[in-house]
Amino acid sequence: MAQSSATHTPTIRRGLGARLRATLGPDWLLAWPMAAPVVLIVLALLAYPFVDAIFLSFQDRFIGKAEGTWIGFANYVDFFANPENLFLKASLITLLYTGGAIGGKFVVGLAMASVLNQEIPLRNVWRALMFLPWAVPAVVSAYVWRFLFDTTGPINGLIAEFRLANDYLYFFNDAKLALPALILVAIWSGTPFWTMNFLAGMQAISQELYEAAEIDGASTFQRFRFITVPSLQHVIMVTALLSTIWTSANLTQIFVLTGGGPSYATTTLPMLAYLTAIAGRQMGAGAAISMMMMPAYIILVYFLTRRMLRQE
Amino acid sequence: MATTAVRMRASASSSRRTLGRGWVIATYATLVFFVLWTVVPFIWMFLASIKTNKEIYQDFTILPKVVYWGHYETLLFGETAGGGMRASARFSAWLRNSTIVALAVTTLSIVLGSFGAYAVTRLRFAGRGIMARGLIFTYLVPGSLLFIPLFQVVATLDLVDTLSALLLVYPSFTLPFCTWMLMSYFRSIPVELEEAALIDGCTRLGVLFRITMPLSAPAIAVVALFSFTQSWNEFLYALVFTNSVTTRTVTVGLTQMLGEDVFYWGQMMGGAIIAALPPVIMYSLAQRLVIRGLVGGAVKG
Repeated sequence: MAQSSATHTPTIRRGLGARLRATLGPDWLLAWPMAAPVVLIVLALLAYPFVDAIFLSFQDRFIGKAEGTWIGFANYVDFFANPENLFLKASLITLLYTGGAIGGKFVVGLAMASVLNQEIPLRNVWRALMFLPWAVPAVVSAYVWRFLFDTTGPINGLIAEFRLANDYLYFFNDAKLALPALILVAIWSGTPFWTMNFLAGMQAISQELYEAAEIDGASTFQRFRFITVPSLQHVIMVTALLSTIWTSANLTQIFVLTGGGPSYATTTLPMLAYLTAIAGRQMGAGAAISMMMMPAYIILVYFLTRRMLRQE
Repeated sequence: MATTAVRMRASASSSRRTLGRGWVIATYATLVFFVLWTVVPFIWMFLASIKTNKEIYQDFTILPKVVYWGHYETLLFGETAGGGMRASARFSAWLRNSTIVALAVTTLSIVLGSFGAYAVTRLRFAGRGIMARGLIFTYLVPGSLLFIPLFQVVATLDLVDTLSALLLVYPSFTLPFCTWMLMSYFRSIPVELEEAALIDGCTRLGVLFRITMPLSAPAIAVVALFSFTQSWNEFLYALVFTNSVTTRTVTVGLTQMLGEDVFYWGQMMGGAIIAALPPVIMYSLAQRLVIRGLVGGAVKG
């Protein structure tokens, strides 16, 4: 077909329509209007705000103030000149929170998927059940755990019953306990996504591999270590990258459970951006925080996109 | 299909046979642990919602001595004032807002996503490759990085504290994903079907509505479910862009219940259960579809 059009076009005098079709593609007249809404929405709600955030980060713009003034890199420099150095502290907390949650989700998800992949009675019921924490709104999972950790809740009930501590433990008001408690909540609500991906990956592994290994005398653990885990490598990478992006950027549970406190002990970078820009009304300084996070996300997204597109 | 099922059953039973007794015990112990880990928080939440305040705050019972529906009654029909309006009027306004936003965003995402996906997978035009790559990139960049400039966009359009702000902004996270999912599904539909219809005189749009979309029903169901639940569950944008009692969605509304009352847990847990029901019901009904779609969309691209 390409050949026939190539032989015919020179003989026909090309009008404007034909020339446009040649440069913009044969179906552009229909394709552009069809694609336009998606493209415009993405540009207006993602590309424009992205560029706007760059400009914003160089201004001392406040909520309620019509115009900001250009102040160069002051917003960026301030974070490092600040003796409290909240930005560095928040970066460290973001790493701890994300790392802890990802590690936990990986271990729990792998164990959960391994169990659910066995021939067990009512398997589909358990699968559906273990999916639930992922389906409920993040606000709901946050409040469930706030209640479980409350002084009236079962965890403090057990502590009091067995006299494990002298007083109730105020998990989300304690600088040492708040971050581990938040990580636990993130693991609880985020694991099902890992479990489902691992399960799908496990079901794609050929049974012959296991049979061959068995004949060779491999133990159950060896089969898991040398067949299951290597076969899941791609799934593990993609899931880990996706989950890293979502976990580090999500602030719903932190907002509901600690609000970033006590004394910034659970303030991750997105939380710091929220506290600065919305609660503190300093839009420019908040945008600077988002901008400083951006390179890390662009690298993550780049690797993830490459992996996901390679699959196609 | 039948042969794979048979083979799977055969191999599964053989793998069970060779699993040592220790591993079988370990498997069941882990299963019990994970079931409790998943379910106990939900059960505790439900039990609290049917306990009296006395049992929650004073007696610390595990199972309620009497089943008390008062918290739900207050939420749904209550007269107690809260934030200047009847508690029930307020809670039902939140539910209504969430429903309106989630349904409108879902409809929009399916229609516009189908158009975009059809153009990318079936039509040849300049910009096609960039659009396909741009979509996945924008889907993956977390929106919480952009809420500050988005707040400016919303403020410029004078939409702060309106539901329209949410209707405007939510497609930024539903639309790239919907289009992406539909694209990978449209590709799996044989083009020959469409070509036959085109030869018979059907228009391109006719093909999309009469052939491609009906054949993509499973993918559209997944996309609808994701858009609905993601919009329903969304918190950050709703928190930043709305601020009066009547424009809140239910997720942000829940956070407002805290601190108004000294004894809030019963009502709070009741409200949380009601807020969680729509996504939970939808996921339970469409679980198979979702997992296939989830894995297809996320892992296999």
